[in-house]
Amino acid sequence: MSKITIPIRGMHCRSCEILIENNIKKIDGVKKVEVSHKSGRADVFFEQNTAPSAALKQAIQDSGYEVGAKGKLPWLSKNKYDYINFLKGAVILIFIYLIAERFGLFGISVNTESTSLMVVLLVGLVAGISTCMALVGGLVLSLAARHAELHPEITPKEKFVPHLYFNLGRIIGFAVLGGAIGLIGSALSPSTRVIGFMTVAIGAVMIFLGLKLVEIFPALKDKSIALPKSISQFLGVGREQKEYSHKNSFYTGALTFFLPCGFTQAMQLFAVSSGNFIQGALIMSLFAIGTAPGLLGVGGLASVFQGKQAKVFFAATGIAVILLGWFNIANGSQLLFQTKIDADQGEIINSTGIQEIRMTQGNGGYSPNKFTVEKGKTVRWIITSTNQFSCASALVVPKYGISENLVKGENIIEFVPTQTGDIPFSCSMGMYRGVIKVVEPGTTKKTSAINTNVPVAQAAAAPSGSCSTGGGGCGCGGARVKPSSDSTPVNATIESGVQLIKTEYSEEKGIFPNNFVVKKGIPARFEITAKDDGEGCSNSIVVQGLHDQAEYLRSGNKIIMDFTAEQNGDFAITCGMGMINWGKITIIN
Amino acid sequence: MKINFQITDLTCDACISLSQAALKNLPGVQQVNIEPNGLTVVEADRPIDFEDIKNELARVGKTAEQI
Repeated sequence: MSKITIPIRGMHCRSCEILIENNIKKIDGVKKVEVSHKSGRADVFFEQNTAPSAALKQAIQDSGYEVGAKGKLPWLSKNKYDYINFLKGAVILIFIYLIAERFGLFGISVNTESTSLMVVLLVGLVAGISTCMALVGGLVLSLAARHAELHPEITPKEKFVPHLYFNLGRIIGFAVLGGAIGLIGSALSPSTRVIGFMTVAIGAVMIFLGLKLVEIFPALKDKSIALPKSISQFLGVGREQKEYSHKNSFYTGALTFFLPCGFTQAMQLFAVSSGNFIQGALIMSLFAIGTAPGLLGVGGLASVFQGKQAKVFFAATGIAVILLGWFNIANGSQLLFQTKIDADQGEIINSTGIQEIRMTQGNGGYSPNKFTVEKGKTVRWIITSTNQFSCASALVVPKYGISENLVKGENIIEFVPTQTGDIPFSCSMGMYRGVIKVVEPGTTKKTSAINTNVPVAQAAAAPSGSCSTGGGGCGCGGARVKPSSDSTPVNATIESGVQLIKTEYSEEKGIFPNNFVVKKGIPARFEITAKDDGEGCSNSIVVQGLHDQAEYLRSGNKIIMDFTAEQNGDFAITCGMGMINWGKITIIN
Repeated sequence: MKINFQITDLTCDACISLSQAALKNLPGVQQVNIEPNGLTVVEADRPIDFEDIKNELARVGKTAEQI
């Protein structure tokens, strides 16, 4: 008697062994067969000297298995039907897309929030009849069986009750736990980068699952993303609970939240990145609702998706899931590497020197979404939100750490751009984008109006004191500015023992007159009458070394600085941050 | 007559075809339909004792439970 060992792949369980054994036993001359699905091998004992190789191979293939080492599946399928199914699936998908487009189904769901929730529902549906079915389905079946054991007298309708409790528990549990992880997401308040990374991760998981579904990459079949077994065992999954109760069924359903199923985990990531209880709850519960039909086996859904049609169906859903995953990755990488966007140019409305830009946030993003502003001047960004319940309402500006949840109506964000370049902004998921371009003062097209408002001339008169070009913005505020002036020196007048000097601030001239002479040791008063509001950096005034406390220039206000000079010399009159040099006060004996 | 029950430990198509073959061995069985979730309908021209079904399935390593 001779023996041959044949590697077989595709075996899952004892049943597979029996099937193969039965078929091999039918071959003439075979005495004994031992098949093991664990080692993926068959030991065949036969009478002849040479093994009936062809017959053995045929028997194994007839049983639905392949000869070959286990675990070394090829990367690309050699089965042409897998490709035909893939093409069929793609055609069906395009067909569905065209129908949906023709009937304007995409138009209805312009609201992105509902669109992405529809996607969640769809993913749930797919999961319910594929991966989750295998994992969660077994659990609910054993629950139902135990229920039936306890109550042999119940009607078929009543036998269905455990399933309902299980799915109800699942939906409610997913809602609560999804909300909880949404809260975790908001507590962590992940940065745009982290959200971008998570979005990419969700996309990667979805592409992986999609590739598994399309079946043209057999090597992926063995690989799965799953929690360690110890965790699922800890949660009591697969443990034989002897007692059945509706409550148990309900809780087990809820606990399936922790079951390692790729789709569930992708949705959980999505829920975390939503950073919001309601969004997280919505995402997870819709996912659970999506899986319910598959798990309940409604209308023989499972048997419909068996056999040949199933493969085409899975190919179609696989392609859809891959596309959705790709969409996610594209969005996520946008958040990670914000790039320049070409879009409508927003108009700057200039009033009282503040650069006002207006934008509307609707369902489909931001409009206009491209602005040009000048550096160093306050930008008042007025965003009119028309729909608070759109993804676009979560506005982030990564560069300035701005994260705003827009509310319906006008939202105002104010900031001072300190560096030239692009400031990209987007919704928190990165789907809708825009950019604020920051340029040097005086280089925008509409600058004539703006320029007259800023005492640029004075700033230019003091190149040594101005460090705004360095991009450091206010970093040089503490530096002493070399005093300079361009009006003829004005001597202080003495009024009741106090030396009085007076000046005016206007947008046009800045501080004028700007050259004063004051005597040492005698109390002095410097009066500044503001005719206009100071703006940007020049919104306040100091006299370095004499009155270092910045006073704000507000139209109609009179600023009074009292000091008694102790030292001879020149003291600079500058803006609060020291960047603009307006003039000097000279102290003499 | 139809007999409904549940096979609780199906893992793959092999289990289904194996169980199907086993159940068809029972005298009087005309048709067997097994859903992937384990729900099974056996059509037979005589009443079949559930114990017989259980025993037959046990031979292929499967467990049946009444629903």
